[in-house]
Amino acid sequence: MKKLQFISGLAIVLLSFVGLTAPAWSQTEQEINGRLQIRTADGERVPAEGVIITVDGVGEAISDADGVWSVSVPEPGIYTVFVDEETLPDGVSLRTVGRSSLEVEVEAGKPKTALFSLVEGEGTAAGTNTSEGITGRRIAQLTVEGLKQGLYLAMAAVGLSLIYGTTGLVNFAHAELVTWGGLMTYFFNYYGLAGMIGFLAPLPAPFGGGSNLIFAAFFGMIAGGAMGYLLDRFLFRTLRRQGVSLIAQMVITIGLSILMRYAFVYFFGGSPRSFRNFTAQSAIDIGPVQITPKDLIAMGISTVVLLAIGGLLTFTRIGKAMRAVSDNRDLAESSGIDVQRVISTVWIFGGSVAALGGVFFGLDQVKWDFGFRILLLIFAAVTLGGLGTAYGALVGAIVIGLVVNLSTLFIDPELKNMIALLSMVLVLMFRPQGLLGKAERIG
Amino acid sequence: MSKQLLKILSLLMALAMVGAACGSGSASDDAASDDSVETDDSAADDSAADDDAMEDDAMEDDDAMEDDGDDAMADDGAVDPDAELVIGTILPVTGDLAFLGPAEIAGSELAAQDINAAGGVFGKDIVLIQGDSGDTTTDTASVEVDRLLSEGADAILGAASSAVSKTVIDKITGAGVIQFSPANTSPDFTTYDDNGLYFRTAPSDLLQGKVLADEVLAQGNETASVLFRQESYGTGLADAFMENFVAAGGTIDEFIPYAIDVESFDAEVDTIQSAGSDAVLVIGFAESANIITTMHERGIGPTSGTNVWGVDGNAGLQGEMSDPSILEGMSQTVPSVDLGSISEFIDRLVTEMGGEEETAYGAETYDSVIIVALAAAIAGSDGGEAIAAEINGVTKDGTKCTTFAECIELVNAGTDIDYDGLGGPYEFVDAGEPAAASFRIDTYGVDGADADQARYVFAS
Repeated sequence: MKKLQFISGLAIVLLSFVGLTAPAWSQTEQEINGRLQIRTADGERVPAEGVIITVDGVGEAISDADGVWSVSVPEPGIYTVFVDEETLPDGVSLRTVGRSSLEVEVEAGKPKTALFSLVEGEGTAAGTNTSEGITGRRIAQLTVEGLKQGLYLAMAAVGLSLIYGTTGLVNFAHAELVTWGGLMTYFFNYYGLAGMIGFLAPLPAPFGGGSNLIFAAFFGMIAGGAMGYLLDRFLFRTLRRQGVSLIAQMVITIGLSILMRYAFVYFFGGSPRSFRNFTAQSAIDIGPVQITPKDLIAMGISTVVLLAIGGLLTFTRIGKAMRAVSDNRDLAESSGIDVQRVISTVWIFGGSVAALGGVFFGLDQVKWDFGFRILLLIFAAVTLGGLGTAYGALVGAIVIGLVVNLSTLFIDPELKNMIALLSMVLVLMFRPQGLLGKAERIG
Repeated sequence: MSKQLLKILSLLMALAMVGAACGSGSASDDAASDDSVETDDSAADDSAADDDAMEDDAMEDDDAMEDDGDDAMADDGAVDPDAELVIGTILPVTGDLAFLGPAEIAGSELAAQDINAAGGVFGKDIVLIQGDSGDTTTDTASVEVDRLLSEGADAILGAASSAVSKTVIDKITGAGVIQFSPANTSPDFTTYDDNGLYFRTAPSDLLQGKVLADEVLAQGNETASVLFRQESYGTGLADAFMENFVAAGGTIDEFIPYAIDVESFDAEVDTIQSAGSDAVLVIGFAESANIITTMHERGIGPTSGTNVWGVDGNAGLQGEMSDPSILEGMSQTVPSVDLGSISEFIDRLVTEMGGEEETAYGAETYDSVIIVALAAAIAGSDGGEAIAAEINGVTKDGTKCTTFAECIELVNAGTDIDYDGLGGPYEFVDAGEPAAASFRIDTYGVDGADADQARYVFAS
């Protein structure tokens, strides 16, 4: 160590002569160093003292009380470093059996760290994965996350399914209704209603200067419903009246989807943002599972909303009217049901529930195209559950959510969405009407 | 049955159309409306090779510079009188890397201002046409490249994302036009067959991977998990990190690529959590904010004692978070010279951006434009291949100069120059990229990363 100090002292003196023009890195001495620590059984790390480390052809060092060692090397290059296993403390071994030497490349003037990982007890063979693997805890955790994703997905999907059920239209712009809800909620969250009407700014929240996410989400739902109504009233009602075919209408929704998406990026910008409230909550432990309170509440709301929609369809007048229109439009119309009103209601419902789904997805991040990114999963969910049924969208979405998350136990996470689509294809091969869809007569 | 089949088929077709329709890229025209650089009219007439201009303040009002006549081209009568240097850009106005866009766009604008203030190239102002690169989920870059090529671009600056650059490199270099990225770091470009027309001022991630591995080890971490974008930047950097980390004795617990278009990272973070590594490296773009927030929620975020590391791809992270304090304790590496040494430029850059904070790659973009302009002046031509042949030489071997005004005077005098830019000395190797670079190591505090606390490491 004396020698090292002398050399570095000399280097400093030299440096001051050479002046600042010389790059600093070419003047300091290079060394190989490290810190030997023993990982105990309970995960603590304690320093290993008195272990001999040898740099081949240069010299050796003994680790000090903090486990620190260093060997200075004369010039840059590749060196082989050994740890003397004989000098390891009793009951301590290398984490990776046999990994007692390393080849390290030393650059001019830079310290290079060489690491020998030590563990209490026996080390493992190279390549052994120390990760948890498939355990009950992970299965439970991923199940909850699958349920969460499934419920949010169901919120986004149920409107698509209902609109298809009543009008036969496959609405590709539905994803943009989801985005619209998330973005409007973001807007209300930061600017309140004052964002739209400037003179309201001095008023207290929720009317001015930003509102709590809960209010904002409520306004976001209203905005979603309004968008649904407007789209139907001024676009699709006209198309229906003109007798435009469903395929043509579907193509129009694709164009509409692109138009809306780029309108969003124009006004909102390209970067993702987060809501002002409830971000970065710490998860709470429920049994073996960790979940944030916001997600827990959002899951509860989703469940209530989705069951309510199901109940509404089954038991209320408007629900019965919807199903009547869905079954036979002409018959429904001639029996006195106001079909346009029913369809408007479905669009308003679909738009506002999609908006709430957008808020829930947006709890992580809102972005101009985040709805579009989940479009495939939404379609997978409604197709899997059975197009046109509310409960089908719910069941389909939950299956998709669970499959996506639980599949990561076995396969790389990068493929998780593919598994969802694969499961959709498999189900449709054996049950073409979807899980809850009504079987149509063949032939 | 056939009805069902028809339904599914038409659905699939429609989905395919949605996919293809992404390529329409109609966002770009809205987003990048600024077509060309505004400079003082007088700049066109002033061939300001005056000594005053050699000082670093070429940004000074160019009226101050005297008109030295048209001698800019005096030594090289071979210049085509119609030659005009047109540089297009595909920088991220939208998409995953949009937070890097403002600094890069401002850097290119400042460079064009400085060049034109010093008399331009071929005695004419250079023309800068801004365009958008989008990200890999859109096809914006490809559409923008078509537009720039049709507008006669001689060189195209960008993209910032390696994966986006890869989607357009064949189209650009195939058209005999230079592609010059200020921010691509994927190692793939070193060996890519680009007809010698691809250049970059950013260093390959082989260097960043080495610096990262050294730094993570130096902090006493023995095991690490890596979560990275499944595209050329993410995999290149993750592989470089793993190779260096393992070679120095470290252990990789989990090595997880994620698809770039997923919206939820619960499953990935769960895998990281189950690994329980000393350090976690997140190699991503803007979605990193989502990942780190999820990690925080699950108790393995930067504030929990886990040593979390980021990279240049998520350098603008704090701007994406509604609560940047959860980043406290996180560190990251960014290819960068000591920002303190170019504070004057950074001030200009921030003014030009209108107060945005993230300055990463601003200096590299500035230098890219300057290098292309100098190479064009030396080549005496606005042809892509002629300029490309001079680019490596501009950055090395010759009389050192640090501003366009200073360099162009040397060029006009027939001297071989070595441009040392704001972002580094460069010294391009044959592959058209720097072989050594300086890296900044930031650590986040409660209010985000503090540039004054940053350390700098040199790697080659």
